Amino acid sequence: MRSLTGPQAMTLTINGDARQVVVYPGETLLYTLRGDALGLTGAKPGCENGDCGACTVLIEQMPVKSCMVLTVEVEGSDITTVEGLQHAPIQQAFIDHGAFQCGYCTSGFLMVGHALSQQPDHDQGRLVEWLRSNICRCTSYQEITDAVRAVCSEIES
Amino acid sequence: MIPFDLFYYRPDTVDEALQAYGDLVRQHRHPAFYAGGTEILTRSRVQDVHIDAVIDLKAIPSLRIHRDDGQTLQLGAALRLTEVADLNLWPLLTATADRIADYTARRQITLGGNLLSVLPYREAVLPFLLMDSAKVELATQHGLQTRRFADVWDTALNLNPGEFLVSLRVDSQEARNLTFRSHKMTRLDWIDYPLVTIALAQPASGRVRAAFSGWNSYPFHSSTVDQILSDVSRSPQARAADAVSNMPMPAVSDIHGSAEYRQFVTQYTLSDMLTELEES
Repeated sequence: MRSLTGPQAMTLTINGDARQVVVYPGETLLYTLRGDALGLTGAKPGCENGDCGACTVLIEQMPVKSCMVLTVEVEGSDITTVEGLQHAPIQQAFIDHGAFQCGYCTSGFLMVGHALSQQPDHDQGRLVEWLRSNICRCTSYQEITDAVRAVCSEIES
Repeated sequence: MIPFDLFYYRPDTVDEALQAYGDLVRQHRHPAFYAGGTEILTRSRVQDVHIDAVIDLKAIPSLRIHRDDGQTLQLGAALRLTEVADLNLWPLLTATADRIADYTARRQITLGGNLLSVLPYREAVLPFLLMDSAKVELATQHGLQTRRFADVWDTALNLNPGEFLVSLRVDSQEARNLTFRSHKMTRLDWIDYPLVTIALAQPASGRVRAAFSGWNSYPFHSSTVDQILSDVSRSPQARAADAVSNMPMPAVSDIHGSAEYRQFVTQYTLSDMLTELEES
């Protein structure tokens, strides 16, 4: 049985790199990512209630709201943040389709869109279902949907 | 972030989990069993829950079980709702559970976590309320115990302190031979808590059974409502109106809708679902 109390030194695999951190068992992944040790502020604190999706990252290539998981739960998992998506097609698609206004929700949508584009099945129903996990208060939903659809179509072709 | 220093335990067996709980209580700590974590994390953030230790059950194999041997369908309590849907061993449960929260949240929420939630909705309960054969497997200080779902449920799954849900079982034949409909109605958005969620099920030769969530502060099933809905000599519209008038408790008024609106939505949804069920 694994038992953790007090601050813990552990290694997290983030964007392909092994990163040493010290975390408390009660820390969420969002808090750890954005802390001074890692400084990965791409994942945004929005509601911190699992509703908005602005803090979405990928765990083993699948979207997870990082405010809804303890860091100690993901030790040994492959974590991808928006900082790890450099030059991913989804970024250019968001630019091409003007898929953001204030941009606060953008990293979360990018993570969901990227993860979906890597799935073998990304039909319209699945696309809508996955994107419903995130909220854009500027209501750029149509442009975001168009951008994600464009990347999925590009990969299919 | 849980705003206090937390003890985190991840046992590999049921016995280790029970032992950890007992040890923590003896140390005057306040442990909680943990799996998906969505409710504990959100409630802790606003200091609505007072725990200082979690026992993460996800690594225990018997809580991750999923099998249908032709006689019994068994689902582990720590299966994520997306896993329940992807496995699709029980289409009625898939249809109901797949409308809880949003996709990313369902990748965290577990079947057991939803059933044991303190929120009123707990929609994954509905299919189990409709099955005579439903059973729960519980880890207790006296070992693993299997009990009828109906014996453990009144307005919630009643577990004693230190007990946890290991798995749920239903009769494979009963689950497979159901015609069913499951529908969630929300006020505006697709992703929201329900005004009402209704699950209808009918065996090949048998009466309609209905279970409701969102109508009041807990999910329920009513034999009286079943009897009304099963009277095929009357139109679906008439039966739905009568059922709404004979619910075992009044509809709740809350931020999602008034009691009157809830009654209206329930009535026309129920009518449509009955029509669909009987035409299928």
